[in-house]
Amino acid sequence: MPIIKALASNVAVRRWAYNLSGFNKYGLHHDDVLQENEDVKEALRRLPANKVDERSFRIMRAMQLSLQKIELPKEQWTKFEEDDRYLQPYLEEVIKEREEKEYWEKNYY
Amino acid sequence: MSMSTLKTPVMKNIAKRCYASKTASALSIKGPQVQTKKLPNNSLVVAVPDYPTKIGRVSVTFLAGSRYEDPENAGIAHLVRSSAGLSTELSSTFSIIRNLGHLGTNYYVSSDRETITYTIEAHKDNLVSSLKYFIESISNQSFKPWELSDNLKRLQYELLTIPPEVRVLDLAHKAAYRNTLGNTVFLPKYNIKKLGSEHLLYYVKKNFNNQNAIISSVGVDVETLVHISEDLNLPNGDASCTTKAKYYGGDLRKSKSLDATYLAVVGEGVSYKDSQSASFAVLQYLLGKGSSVKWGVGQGVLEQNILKANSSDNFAVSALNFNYSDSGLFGFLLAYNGKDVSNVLKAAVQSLRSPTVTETEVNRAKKQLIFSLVSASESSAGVLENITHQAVTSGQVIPFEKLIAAVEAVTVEDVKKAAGKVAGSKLSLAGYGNVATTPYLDNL
Repeated sequence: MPIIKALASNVAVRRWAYNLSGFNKYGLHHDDVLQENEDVKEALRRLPANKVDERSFRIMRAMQLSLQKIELPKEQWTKFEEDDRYLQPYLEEVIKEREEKEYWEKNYY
Repeated sequence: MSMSTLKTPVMKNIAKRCYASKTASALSIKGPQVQTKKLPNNSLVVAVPDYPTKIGRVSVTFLAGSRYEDPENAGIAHLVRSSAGLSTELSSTFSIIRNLGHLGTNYYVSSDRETITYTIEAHKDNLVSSLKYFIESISNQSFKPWELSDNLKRLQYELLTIPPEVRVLDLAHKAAYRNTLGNTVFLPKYNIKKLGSEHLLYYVKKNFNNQNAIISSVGVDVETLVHISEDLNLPNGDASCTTKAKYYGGDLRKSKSLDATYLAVVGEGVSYKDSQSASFAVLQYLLGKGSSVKWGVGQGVLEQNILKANSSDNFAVSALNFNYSDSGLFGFLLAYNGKDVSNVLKAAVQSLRSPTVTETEVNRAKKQLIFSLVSASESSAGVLENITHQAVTSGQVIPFEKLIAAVEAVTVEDVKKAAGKVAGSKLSLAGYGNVATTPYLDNL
């Protein structure tokens, strides 16, 4: 287990895994390809409008590329370092609030 | 608003003497002990610890009401009030509401032209554990944009349910003062979507500081309030910039599809700490605050005079007396449902300008005023409201028995002088509802 942990925290390994996953070839960011569950939907609702627009643009572009069965030119691929996880602070807050509610419902009713 | 009192030493002495000499009076009222303390951080602390109650009540008041707004952020004080209890930096709305509810605590916020007041009420055993959430939700507000937009529906509902008699009072202030105290206490429609998180954060940061804070309590001692002040950890800002309220006087009316006409006519009154404020309070009861007997006709001079002038149409009338920290309004509120309001209005304005001030009427007014003072002091919520209002408007709290003594010391001459002052000032008129037949000020 410590080996896996060490690997997971190693930047080089993470970059390798990131590039292997492939979504960056369509110009997408990590948070663009999250499963849209209730938490993510709520986090998206809280996201500032400009961030939502940027996300929509990236997703639409990716759909178009996928339809045409092509990728972006390599210099336009999202780089590991440039991938900002813009949704994470909102998502964390949403999850924390949900867990708080669940805790209350479990313990006080 | 009905509580009025005296500050100048001369009047205080008279009040004291009157109180000492009235051994025969049936009213030997002793109010609870009030403790006042100015903290090193400049917050004012007022406590009534020995009130016989099992409930502890604490208010934190900021001088941040609508008079401190700029034209750009009109109505923001209303928005701050409406946003109370939303998520803070550490607690979510859910946890604030659930935890307070779990402790059986009441938490509410009120605001007026001068202040925003956060109040908590809890059984004394639960008060300390409730305070954590109370303090957090005052001093750590974060105004998250999505929570504000979720709150809009409730805010719009609130704006739609404001009764016309409240709207007309707001208009009357606007007509009388134009700015400062004339700023509307309600969020205007055009600002509902415009004011957001940044505006609120800026306003709260600017106004919620130690200099502007007044912490008051009933059933809770001063030491606890000092701890609350420390835990609030407010910034040491400047006092809210107080442009002195200037009375101008004017005429404002708003046509609405209502059957009734709501009119407020006011002249310049006095501030709370003015030596004449007790006379004005008596004058208000002399003019009448509606019937004190169920289904009865009001005793007041206003109502009697209108009845003489016009007997068939439906109307309701009540005298108004607003005492703020540096100014005041005095007049009446009239609701009318009939064809032509001009006769009724003229009769009412006539009695406002030159009321019949007789010994009997003054005595009746004094009795009614004292009853209302005593009645308010019977509930600890009433006491809290009273001491908070006094601390806000005059920076000190006058013991209850001195208030009563000051009222008893008012003479017929004092009341006549007060009436003369109102008559001498330029009147303001505000109308709301069916204002088609309402005469203008220069025709009155």
